[in-house]
Amino acid sequence: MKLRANARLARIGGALAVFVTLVLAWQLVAELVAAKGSYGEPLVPGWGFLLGNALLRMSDYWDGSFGVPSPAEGGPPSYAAALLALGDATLITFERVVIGVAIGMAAGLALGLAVAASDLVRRLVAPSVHVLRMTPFLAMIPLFNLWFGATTFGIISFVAYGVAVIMFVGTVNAVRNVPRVYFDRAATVGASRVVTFRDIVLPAIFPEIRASMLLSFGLAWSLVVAGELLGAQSGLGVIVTYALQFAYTGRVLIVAFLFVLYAGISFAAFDALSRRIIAWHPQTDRTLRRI
Amino acid sequence: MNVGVNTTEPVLSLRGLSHRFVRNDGSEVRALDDVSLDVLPGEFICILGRSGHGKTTLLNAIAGLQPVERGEVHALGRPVRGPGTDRGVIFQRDSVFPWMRVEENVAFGLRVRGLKRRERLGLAREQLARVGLSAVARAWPRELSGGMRARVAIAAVFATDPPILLADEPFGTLDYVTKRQLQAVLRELWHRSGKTVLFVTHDVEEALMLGTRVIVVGNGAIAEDRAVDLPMPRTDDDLASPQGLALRHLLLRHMGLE
Repeated sequence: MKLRANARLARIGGALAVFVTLVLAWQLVAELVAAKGSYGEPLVPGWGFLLGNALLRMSDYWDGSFGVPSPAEGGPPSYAAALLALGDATLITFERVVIGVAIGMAAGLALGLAVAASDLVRRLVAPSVHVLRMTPFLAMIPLFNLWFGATTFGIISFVAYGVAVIMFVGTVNAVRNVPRVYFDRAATVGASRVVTFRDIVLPAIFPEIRASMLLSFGLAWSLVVAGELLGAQSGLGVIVTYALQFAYTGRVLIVAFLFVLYAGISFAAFDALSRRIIAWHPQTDRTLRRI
Repeated sequence: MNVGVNTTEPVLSLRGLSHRFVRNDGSEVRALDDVSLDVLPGEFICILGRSGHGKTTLLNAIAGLQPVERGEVHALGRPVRGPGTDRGVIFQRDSVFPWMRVEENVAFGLRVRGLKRRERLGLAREQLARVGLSAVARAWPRELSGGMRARVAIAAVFATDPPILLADEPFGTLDYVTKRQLQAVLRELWHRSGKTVLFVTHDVEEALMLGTRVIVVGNGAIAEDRAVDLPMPRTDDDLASPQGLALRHLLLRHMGLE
């Protein structure tokens, strides 16, 4: 018990030391690089600039509701307006992520299981699955842009597409990885196809499916920002688009931090929620707990 | 056990089983070469042979897991067309489902049969007691050693009570002590239940310790078929008797060692 607590402490201490080092290193680079963007903002902004000017100017994106004035209407830049602007954009983007992930997971899983249910279909589909997995998602953005324009529907479709591919590939591979001896054992006690699917295939593939789900949460956040960069009217990606036009590196960085934070939170939340279901899995004790 | 039943009727009957596998380089392996065999009720037959000489193919053909090119298998008088609940199998590879607790694993066959939860778990616990695993009935398989998982597999197959038991080198990967313990467990269960057992092994000592009859398989064919006339249950002294040693030398010669 004591040993474990000590090991934990050492791990947290180590992670903290690395974090502090990175923060200090960034500041050092910021002091050394004096380069400015075309509109006068530093290309490598230090922490003072990031948390001061850059964060404060986020209030530019606030529309002035809730009685908090926006600079566009002549009000002073304020942290209240900045945080409201970021919160508002976050909600819009988050909604797209959630809907996209939900649709993508359901579609990918359903398709994957349907394919897995038939040996013949699996053999027919397997080569195409590899092609799909090798196709970079971002290469598909122009297509989605052409088909749907920069609409919310288009962005959600793009997220759903990426998640569905990950889930589909993950499901098909997971079923292929179920050891044959489990099927043989089920057959020798007279299990029907339905029972085999419910009692053998589904639980056997769950750990791999879960890994694909964790992966797709992280992916969904990158897909949504990629989708929003192409001219959406609202959301975190829009803030980045404007900031890019004026080389506002500080604002780009703040949104980037937010994405890291959100991806991390959704990963940890899903990890905690789904862990109980795989209590049986040999790796639950060790590997997964430390991710 | 089988009082009043004609005990000379074979439980298993194999006629002219032949099967070839094709290797990746195109060459052929004769896994089964015209194998015919009759197995009588209550026999404990050990199928002995070196790796790659068709032991597992033979067992899988009887289990209905491996279709063969030629020949027929009859179990309890009926032709074998696929797996069936009259033939229980203990597999070479770990077949314990990691996502089911130990007792649920043992009860799986009964669940398939439609037994209610209480009933099947009751029967599963009885079997677990017989293999000495009562204490871990609620554990996950990952918490068990390899030897304990082998016990779970034995309990699971006895829970469904098939008249024929097929075992494919079930103790092949276990350490010596565990192997000896599990041999005793299996022999005791066999003795109580009167099942007919086909037990594949590459271990001469194991075959002599367990079998009422030993069949040596070489190049897919039966090379030797001997009754083992040693007392049951057997001790190491029995194996060291002149008769035991003579059998041992005979089997070793067939394995290409003497």
